[in-house]
Amino acid sequence: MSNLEPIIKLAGVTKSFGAVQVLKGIDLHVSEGEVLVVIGASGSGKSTVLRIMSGLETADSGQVWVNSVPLHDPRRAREIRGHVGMVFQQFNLFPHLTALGNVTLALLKVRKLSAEVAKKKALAVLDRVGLAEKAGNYPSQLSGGQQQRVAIARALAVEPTIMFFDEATSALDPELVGEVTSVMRSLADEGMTMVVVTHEMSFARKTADRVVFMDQGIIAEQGPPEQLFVRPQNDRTKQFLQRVLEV
Amino acid sequence: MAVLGYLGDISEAALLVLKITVLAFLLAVVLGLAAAVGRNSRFRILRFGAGVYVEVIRNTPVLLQIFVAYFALPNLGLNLNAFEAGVLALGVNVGAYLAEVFRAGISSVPKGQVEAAAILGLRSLDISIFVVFPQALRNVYPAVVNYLVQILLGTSLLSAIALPELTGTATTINSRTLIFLPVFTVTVLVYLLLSNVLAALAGIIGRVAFKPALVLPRGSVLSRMRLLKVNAVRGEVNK
Repeated sequence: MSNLEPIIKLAGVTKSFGAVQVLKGIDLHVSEGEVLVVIGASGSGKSTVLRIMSGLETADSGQVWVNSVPLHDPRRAREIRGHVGMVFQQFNLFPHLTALGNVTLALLKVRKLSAEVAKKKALAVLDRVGLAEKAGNYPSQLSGGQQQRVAIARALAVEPTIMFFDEATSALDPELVGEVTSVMRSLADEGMTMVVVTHEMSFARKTADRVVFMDQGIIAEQGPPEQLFVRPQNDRTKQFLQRVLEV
Repeated sequence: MAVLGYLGDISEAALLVLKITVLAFLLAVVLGLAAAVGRNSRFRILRFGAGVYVEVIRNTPVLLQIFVAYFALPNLGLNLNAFEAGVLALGVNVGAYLAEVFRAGISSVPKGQVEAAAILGLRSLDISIFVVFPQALRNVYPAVVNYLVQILLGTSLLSAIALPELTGTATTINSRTLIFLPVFTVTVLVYLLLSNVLAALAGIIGRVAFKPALVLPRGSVLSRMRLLKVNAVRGEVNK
């Protein structure tokens, strides 16, 4: 963890969907290079926090600064696009494009690179996730784990300052989870700032710098993984961990 | 076989039918896309205009629309010959139906696709062109091909404005020769040939234009019959 100004700052963030208040005041700082893992039961608001940080949702109130962009300001929120990467539970790969096409699209249309440079760069990123030889395959011709690794490559290609992972392994068959978490771990080792919403407790334990436990729209407890997993202070944290770890 | 003497007229009529079908279809696709985009537009006036177009056309008979194009438009200073009026009426008619098909196709693309593209930094026009439309068109392609065949069959209505298309030509030959059965038999065969040629072409385009290749669920009459046979055999095996 660095001592610099936090790269993500949330202060008093609330969000409602209709009558349901999913976030009831979130204060959270993430430092550059930090790997923050967010855990909690479904409906606790963890995905919503991530979607607000990535600019896909706007907070009803409070302040959200990401990479020095004020996301709470609707006139400036768009500035974050192209500077953060997001990996979705359902991959959201473009089915009509090959793995290579998925990765090059933003390089061509946003970065305005030439086709040749974009291709070279995309192949390098695909190689980083171990899929350079699948560059010509369409998503439907890849396994779930491979699709998610292409999605990671697509996000990495634009050289984001922060990577968000929204339950990136939840839709995968258990035997395919490992190939995705190992790519995520190597990213963490390289110093990428990451915010990871996950149900993979072993990933949280081994890779997180800090774990946040969310419960009913608030941050119930946070701390380094050894503290949160071994000596949880909050009763709700204890109950949650008992339920997910006893399997 | 007296009908053989009229094969020249019949093939000329068939060519005319093909010409009208292709032109009306192109017009319908352009109008349909425009109306679909219009109905999803931010601007109320575009939403309203597209809505009026779709509702008026879909709730009035196509024969009336043909008559309007041929007989009423001249009152507005727009003089169209039967061919032009036919292309216009059929294109405008099917365009209204395609608008709904395209709209359904656009909303069939999952929201996550747009989110993934937006977060990468793509502008909304680029998202539409490179992410949403290709998937939407793929999803509705079989339905669009059905409308192509609808236009082909709809050209028969143009006999009402004295266009020498296939059905009209057949009745003309009949009234001259009174050999109904052979003439209608040939006419039916020509329609079958035309619709199957169009469907086969559409199938080839689907396989080439869409990636990964799109295989139409229903091909020509022949391939449908082959499918039936395969299914029948499978049924036997399952017993």
